[in-house]
Amino acid sequence: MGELSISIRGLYKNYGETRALDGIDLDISSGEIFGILGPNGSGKTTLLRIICSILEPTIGYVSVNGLNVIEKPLIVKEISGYVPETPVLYESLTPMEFLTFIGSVRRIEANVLSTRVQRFAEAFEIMDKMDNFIGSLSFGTKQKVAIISALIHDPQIIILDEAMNGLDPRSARILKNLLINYALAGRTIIFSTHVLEVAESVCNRMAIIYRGKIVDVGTFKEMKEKSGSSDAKLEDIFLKMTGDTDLTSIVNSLGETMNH
Amino acid sequence: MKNPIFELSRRIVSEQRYLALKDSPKFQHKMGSSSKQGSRYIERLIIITYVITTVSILIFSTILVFSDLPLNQRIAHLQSTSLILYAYIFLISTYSVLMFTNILRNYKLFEPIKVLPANIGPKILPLSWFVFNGSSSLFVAVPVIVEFFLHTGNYFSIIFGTVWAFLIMILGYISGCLVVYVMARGSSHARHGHAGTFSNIARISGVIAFFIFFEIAIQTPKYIPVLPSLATNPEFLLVPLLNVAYIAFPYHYLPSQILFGTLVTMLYGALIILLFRKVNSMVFLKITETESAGSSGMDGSKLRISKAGFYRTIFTKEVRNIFRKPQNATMMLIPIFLVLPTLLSLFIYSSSISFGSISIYYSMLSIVIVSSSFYSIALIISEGNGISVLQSLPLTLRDIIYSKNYVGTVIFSIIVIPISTIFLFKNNVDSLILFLLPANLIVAYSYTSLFNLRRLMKKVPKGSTTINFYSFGGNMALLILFAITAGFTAVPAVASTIISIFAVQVPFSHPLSFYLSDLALNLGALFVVMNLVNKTM
Repeated sequence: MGELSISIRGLYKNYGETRALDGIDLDISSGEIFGILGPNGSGKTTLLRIICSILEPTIGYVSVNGLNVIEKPLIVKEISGYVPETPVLYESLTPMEFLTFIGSVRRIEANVLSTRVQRFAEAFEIMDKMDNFIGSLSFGTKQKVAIISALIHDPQIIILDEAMNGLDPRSARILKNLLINYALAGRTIIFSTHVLEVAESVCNRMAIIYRGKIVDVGTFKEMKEKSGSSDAKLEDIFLKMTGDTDLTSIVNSLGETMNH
Repeated sequence: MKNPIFELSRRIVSEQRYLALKDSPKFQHKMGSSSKQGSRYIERLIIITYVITTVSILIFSTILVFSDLPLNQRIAHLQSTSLILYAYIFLISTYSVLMFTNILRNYKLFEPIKVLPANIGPKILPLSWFVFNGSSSLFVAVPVIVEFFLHTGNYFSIIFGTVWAFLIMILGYISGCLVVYVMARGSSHARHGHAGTFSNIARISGVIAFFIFFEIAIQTPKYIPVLPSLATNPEFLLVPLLNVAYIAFPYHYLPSQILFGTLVTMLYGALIILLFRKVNSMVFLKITETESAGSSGMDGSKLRISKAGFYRTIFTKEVRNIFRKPQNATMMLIPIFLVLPTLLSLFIYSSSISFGSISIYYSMLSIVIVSSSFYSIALIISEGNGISVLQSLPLTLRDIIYSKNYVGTVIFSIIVIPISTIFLFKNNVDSLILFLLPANLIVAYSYTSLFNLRRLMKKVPKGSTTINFYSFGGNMALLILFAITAGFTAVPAVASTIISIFAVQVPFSHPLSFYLSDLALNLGALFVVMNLVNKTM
C-alpha cells in the first residue's frame, strides 16, 4: 500500500436529532480498494458524501490527500470522482452532452475527452445510446453514464456508492477490473456495496459500519481471525457484526404469519 | 378508512413539500427524532402557505375594489374592477396549475400511485390542486362580491358571483392544463439537439401568442370604458369573463336578466365541465406517461466533442435543461403572462400618455421585477435532482450563479428588446433612447437577478439532493423577492429622475439625461453586486 490518502478522525454527522455517523476514525492508503459495508441506513452514503466534500460533518476532521474537506472542497472535488447510490443525471441531456458538460466543468481538453468518452462508451456498450435523452435510458445505462462521468477526469480518489447496482455482469466485471487497475496505478478507491462477494473479491480492506459506528475494519483475513473461525464467510462476519445471527427464526416467523 | 383518493391527493402535496425541505437543517431540526413531528410540520406548513396566499390575495383585491366614489360611480367601478379581478382568477389558476404540475412531472410523483391496484384516475390531479392550491384564487372575487352586495342588497350577485368565480377558476385550470399538454406533446417523441430546443421555443411562442390574444380580448379599450352599457349589448353575455359584469354585477336585476343569466350560467357550466373532463384526462395521461426511448442519431462508431469554453458549456447545459424539459420551459412563460395585463394596458393607452418614454420605462420596470424574481427561482429549481450533480462537481456557487444569470439575462433580453422597440416606435422617440431603454432594463434585470440568485443559492443546503419551488417558501418567497427587486430597481430610477430634474428641469421632455444617468447608476449597481458575489460566494 502507498501513502496515507484519506484520514478521518472523530467524525460525527447529525441530521436534526438523528445521528448518522457516531465517531468514525479511519485511515485509507493510496492504492487501496477499501470496501464500506453495512446494513441499510447505517451511514455509508453519509460517510462517502462527506469524504468527497458534498456534505459537511457536524464534528470531526476528514482529509483527502492532505486536503481538509471543509476548507478545500473544490480541490477535493477536482481530484475525486463520485458515483452516487442512484444515478442522478440531467435527464434532458443526452449522455454525450452530459459527459461534455462534465468534461468542460472539469476542464478536460476536448480531444482527450473525446477519446476517453469513446473508450468508456465502447467498453460499457452504450455507443448506440449516446444520443438518446438520459431520461429515456434504463437504470443500468444511466448507472454506466454516472460511472463514466466519475472516471472521465482520471481522478486520484474514486468513491462509488453501490455502483454495481443495475449493471449487467459484463459491465460489472469491467468495472471491477478497472478498479483493480486504478488501484495498481496508485489511485485510492472506496466503495460501498451490499454484494458481499464483490467486496470479498475486490477489496484489500473493508470496514463494517453499523448504526453510524465502525464495528470492524481490516482485511478479510483479519476479520476472519477476529471472528474466531478460519472458514467463516464474509456474510457470516457481516451478520455477526450487525447483530443479525438468527435469521432462521425471523424467516420462520414470517412464514407462519403469512400462513395464518 | 378515509377517502383513498383524497388521502392520495394530500400525499402528493405533502410529498412536494417534503422533497423541498428534506435537506434543510431547519426541517431536520423540526423533525427531531420522530417522523410524526416532520409530517405534522409539513401539514402545518401546507395550511400556513394556503392561508398566507389567501390573505395576500384578499388584500390585493380589496385594494383594487376599494374606492371613495359616489354610489352610482362606485357600482360602475365595481363592474370594471370585477372584470380585472375575474381575469386574475383565470391567470392565478393558470399559474398555479403550471407550478403544481411542474413538480409532479419533475419528480414523477404519480409513479408510486400507478402501480397500486386502485382506479385512481385523473380526478386526483384537480382534487389535489384545488384543495391545497387552486381554491385560494377564488378569494380574489370575495371583496367585489361582498362590496356589490352591500351596495345593492341583491343575493343574486352572491350566487352568480360565486358560481362564475368557480367557473373562471376551472377555465384557468383548463388553460394551465392545455399549456402543459401543448408543451409536453412533443416530449414523448424524443427530439435531438437543436430540434427539441427550437420546437419547445416555438411552443412557448405559440402559448404566449394565445395569452396575448386573451389579454387583448379583455383589454381592448372599446370594451372596458363601456362596461356599464354592456346590458345593451346582449352578445357579450356569450363571452365568458366579459359577461361576468352583466350576469353577476348588473345595475338592476330584471327578471329576464335573472332567467337569461341562469341559462347562460348553466350552459357555460355544462360546457366548461365537459371541457374540464376531457382536458383533465388528456393532461393526466401526459403527466403520468413513461418517457419512451428516442432513436439514436449517431452512427455508433465515432463520437465527436466540440471544443467549448467553461461558461459556454454551462450556459448550453442550462438552456438545454430549461427548453428541452416542457415543465421547465413552461416556467419561462409565467413572468410573461403575469406582466401581460400591464404591458397591454400600456400599449393600448401609451399614445395618450403625455410624459414621453420615461413613463414607459417606469411601467416596463414591472417586467424587470417579475422576471428577475421569478427567473431567479425558476432557474434554480429547474435543476431538480440535478442540484446533486452540481454539488459533486468542482464548481463554486459563484460559477452557478453567473451561469444562471447569463441564461436569465439572455431570455429576458429576447423578451424585452422587441417589446420596448414596439412601444418606442409607437411613441416616435429618439433612436438613442431606442437603444438606452432596453439597455437600462437589461442591466437592471442583470444586477437584480444576480442579487436574487445569490440570496437564493445561499439558502440551498450543502449536500442537497433535490430542490423545488417550495424549497424557498413557495409563493411567499416569490412575494419577498418581488418586494426586494422592486426596491432595488426603484432606487436608480428615482435617483435618475431627481438628477435629470436638476440637470434639465423638465425630464419628461428631455428623457436622454434620465436614461444616461439611470444607465450609469444601473451599471454601478451591477458592479457593486458582482463585487458582492465575487467576494462572498
